[in-house]
Amino acid sequence: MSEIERRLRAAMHAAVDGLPPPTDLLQQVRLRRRRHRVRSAAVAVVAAGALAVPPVTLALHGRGGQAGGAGTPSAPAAGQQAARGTVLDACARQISSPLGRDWRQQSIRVGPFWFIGLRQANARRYGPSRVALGGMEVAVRNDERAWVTVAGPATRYFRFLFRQSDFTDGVNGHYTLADGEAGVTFIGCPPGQAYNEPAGYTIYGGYFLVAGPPRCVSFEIWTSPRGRTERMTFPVGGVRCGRD
Amino acid sequence: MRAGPAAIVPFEDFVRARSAALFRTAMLLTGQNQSEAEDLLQGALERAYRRWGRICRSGDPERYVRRSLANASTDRWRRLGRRGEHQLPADASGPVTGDHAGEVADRDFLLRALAGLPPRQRAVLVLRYYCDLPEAEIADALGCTPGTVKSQASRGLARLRAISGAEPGVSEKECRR
Repeated sequence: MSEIERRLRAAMHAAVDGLPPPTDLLQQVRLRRRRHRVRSAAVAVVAAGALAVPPVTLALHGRGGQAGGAGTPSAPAAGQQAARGTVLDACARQISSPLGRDWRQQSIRVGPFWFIGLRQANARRYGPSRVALGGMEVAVRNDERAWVTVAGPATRYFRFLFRQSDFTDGVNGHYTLADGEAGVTFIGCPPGQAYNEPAGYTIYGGYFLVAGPPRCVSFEIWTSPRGRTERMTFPVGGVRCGRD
Repeated sequence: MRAGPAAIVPFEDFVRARSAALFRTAMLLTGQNQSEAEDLLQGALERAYRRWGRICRSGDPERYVRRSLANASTDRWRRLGRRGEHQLPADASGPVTGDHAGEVADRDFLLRALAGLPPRQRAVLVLRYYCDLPEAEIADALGCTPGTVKSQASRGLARLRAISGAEPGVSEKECRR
């Protein structure tokens, strides 16, 4: 081995030996995996939608021109509580996400609806973006529906990202708040079509965008069996939040 | 880590066991850019995760991930249009060596020069001298011939030697034959 080879080998080992791996590596890989699955499913839905005959689609949704397909923004349907923001009502958009045994302890429940892991919500900036991106998974009981909207001061700095994340590259994260949406409606699959993990629930995966430092974020949530709007507040990053 | 031909190692176990070594390789492949190295490694692992069963059955998941890392590092370079490279002048004189501070400076200088190499040359040198892979395996990882690996390594070392002012060694001369 030549002198330069010996020195190069020594330099490389001295530079990186002992470096620990990134602490959240598995979590980040899963986040990417989820995005890939969601994107693939959405592409399939879009492709299928392009082939579908419009009257059939309308009949299936039963809501005429206001039908909200998978990942499409929709106007509120008849009855103010029917749907808000981006509507996720296609089982093709559900994801399969093995949850740990203690997922309920880390999650926030509102009736038939769970924000999975939201008690420890974190967001991360990618590259030069001024907006941080965090993963968000929700579980809605099969055949039930819930809508969630951003409320209070958070409307200035928080957005959901369940629609455009299918089609843009979140890895390098050059999002702005305008890419997100202020509300999302989640509709549980019929029991026969849900992945059934956890049993009886449909899981949707997406992201959220948050600008500025760690913050408290408030949501308004409406769920079908309760039939009323509730409000909840949770922290993004290491902050403490009082009741909203 | 080598798994048996039919053994399926749980993906999480593989990541826990091998992520440190893979991350260090990614660090060197990206010229010690930590955020790029993390991004590179996450992408390689995610691609492996998609077809984990098949990769494990092929017998060597680490080899797959390392190949993915090496290829992605050169692809990234193409996508970024060489942005971020630090070209050092060929006639730059190396640091004075002989004491501990000099050694540290020498290592730093060599690593900067390594980061300034074209990504394929850098990948060859990292896989050869950090991962200790044979030429055939490097060729397989980078999708080229062993002859190309040899010539890329030779050019890379020549460049480093020119920058640092070291004399050519026996093995480099042998490579050129």
